[in-house]
Amino acid sequence: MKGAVFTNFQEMIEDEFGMECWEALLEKCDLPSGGIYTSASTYDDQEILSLVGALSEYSNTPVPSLVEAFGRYLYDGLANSLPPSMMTYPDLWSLLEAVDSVIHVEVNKLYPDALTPKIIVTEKHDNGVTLYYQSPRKMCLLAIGLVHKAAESFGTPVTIQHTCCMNEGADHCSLLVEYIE
Amino acid sequence: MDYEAAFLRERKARKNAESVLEKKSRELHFTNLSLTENIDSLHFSVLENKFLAHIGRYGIERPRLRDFLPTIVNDMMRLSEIPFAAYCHFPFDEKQGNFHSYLLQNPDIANGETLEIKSSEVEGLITEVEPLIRKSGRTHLQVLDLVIDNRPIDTMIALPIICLDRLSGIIILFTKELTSKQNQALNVFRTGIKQLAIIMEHRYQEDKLQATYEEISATNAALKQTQKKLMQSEKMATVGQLSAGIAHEINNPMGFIKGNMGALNDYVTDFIRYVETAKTLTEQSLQSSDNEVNNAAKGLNKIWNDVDMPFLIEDSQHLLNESQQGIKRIIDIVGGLKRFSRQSDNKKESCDLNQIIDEALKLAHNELKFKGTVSKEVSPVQPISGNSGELLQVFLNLFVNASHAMNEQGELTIHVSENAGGVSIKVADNGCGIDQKHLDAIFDPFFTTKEVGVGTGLGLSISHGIIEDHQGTIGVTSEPGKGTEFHIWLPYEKVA
Repeated sequence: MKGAVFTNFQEMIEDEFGMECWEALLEKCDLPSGGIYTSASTYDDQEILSLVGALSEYSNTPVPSLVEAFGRYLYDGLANSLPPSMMTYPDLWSLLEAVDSVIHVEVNKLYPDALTPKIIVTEKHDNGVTLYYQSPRKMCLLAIGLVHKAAESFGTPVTIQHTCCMNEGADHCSLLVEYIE
Repeated sequence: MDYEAAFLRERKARKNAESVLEKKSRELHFTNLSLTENIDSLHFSVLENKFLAHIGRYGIERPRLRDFLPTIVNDMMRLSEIPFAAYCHFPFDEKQGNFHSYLLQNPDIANGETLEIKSSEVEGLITEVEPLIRKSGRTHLQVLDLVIDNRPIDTMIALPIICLDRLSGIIILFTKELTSKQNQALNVFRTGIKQLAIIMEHRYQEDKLQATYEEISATNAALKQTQKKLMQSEKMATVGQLSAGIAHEINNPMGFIKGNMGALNDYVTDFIRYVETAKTLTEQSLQSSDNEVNNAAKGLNKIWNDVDMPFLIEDSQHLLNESQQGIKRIIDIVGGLKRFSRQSDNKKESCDLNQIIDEALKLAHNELKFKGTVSKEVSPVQPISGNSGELLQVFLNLFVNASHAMNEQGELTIHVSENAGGVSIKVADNGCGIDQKHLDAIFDPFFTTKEVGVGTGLGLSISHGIIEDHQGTIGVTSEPGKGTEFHIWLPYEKVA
């Protein structure tokens, strides 16, 4: 997984739980990277899973809630890392449509080895869209957190119904994203 | 000390470094992109050059278009990354017949298996497109719905090869969704094909020019030959005319000289008879007792002895014989001249050449019998129309010449056969041969290498005239020291 995810995770821990917590997690997990993360590198997926697991224990919070919360936190970090010209979408829907066709393309230009998930708008409704998510990492909750935060940044909060999920054996996830009336 | 401030500063520094790195990465990406583009365009240029160079080769190596088109079509598929293609060829020489290729596969994607499938369908498309192209003379694009070798095909591009306002061929490309690169390649193809057509045109004109040149050369050679013959016949005509005049002038006095010599011979015989009888009378008168008679006889006897009458009698006969032989020779030569100048009668009859040759051999027997053997290889031939007397003269002349050329171990070979609508006769001897420098002149009148008085130099020129008169040919090959071969050909002709 890209280093940016790890550096953002580290910052979230420091912000939310303090530097002692981060140190405690590193000590507990004994990671191959030793917790030395930079956004330019790529690290083993297992490291984030270990860290999230340890944080769940530390904070006494279930993993899914943590992942979704991290998604929300990650949004700003990722958005800021993009060139400013890429963040000129008028609303959430156009941003969601651009994820696969523009943003991930841009990421792959910088990091040809990056394994970006497939996030596609498959249906448009009156007050929302159906989002298709597919990734071997099955981190749909992270995506959900990201979408929530994005919606908030546009000032249009949404509800997200997880109609089918890879973690429940499906080959992809379907997310029904709708404005809150 | 406030470590947290230091820590935050370091973190900020790291983030700045990361963002610089990211910027550099982005730049690198674009550099890579432009490099890749450059490589692509270089690759395209290389293939384009190869394609155009191949077209140039068509002009230099001059292959047949049908053998050459596959190279070009393969180049085109490689250059444009088009998977399939086909071509047809309509040769200038309509006897060669039109040619439609099988479906060809881009060698870069070919898996080695032949693509017999869909051939009939493709053939159908080509047949449909041909009249359209003939009419428009332009590139033809058509939308299709085909699957070839598991590849969907939706576009057919047919490029005409037009040379000298005539459709010489069509190259047909099959692809899916023309890319901009392929469009660029199509422009190259159009230029290349136009160039090919120009080269074809040049080659065509060149071939035509070459053919015309060869024709002119042949005509020129024939003209020179004719001129040479004309000069020869003119020379002959002049000599003929001259000979005819001389012959006529000599013939008249010769006539009376011959007659006079005959009469003189008779007279001399009479004179001799008289003189011999008078001698007897003189002998008797010398015995006479009559003095008058005796003295007269003595006077006569003195004259007899003074003039050496026995010698006179013997020599005058000899002189007369010699003169008469001389006259005969002169008459022969003049007769030859007359025959040479075609003053002889020209009656044509059916002539059996084998019989004529036998007759000539009989006549030449006296000359040949001491000069070795005569062998004949004769196949039966049909009679020809001609003058048997003249032909006899020709063969007699050849046999006598051969006998003069040979020594005692001579071998004269005569070969008669049918050939090219006529009779071919070869007369070969193993005699002394003819010097190369003389070969050209042997048919000229008065040309001879024999001693004065042996040959007139007319024999072969007369023979030449006779054979020409019979619409035949006479030629000679010779090698000094090995022998000479004359070959005569006489055509069969309507027997008059």
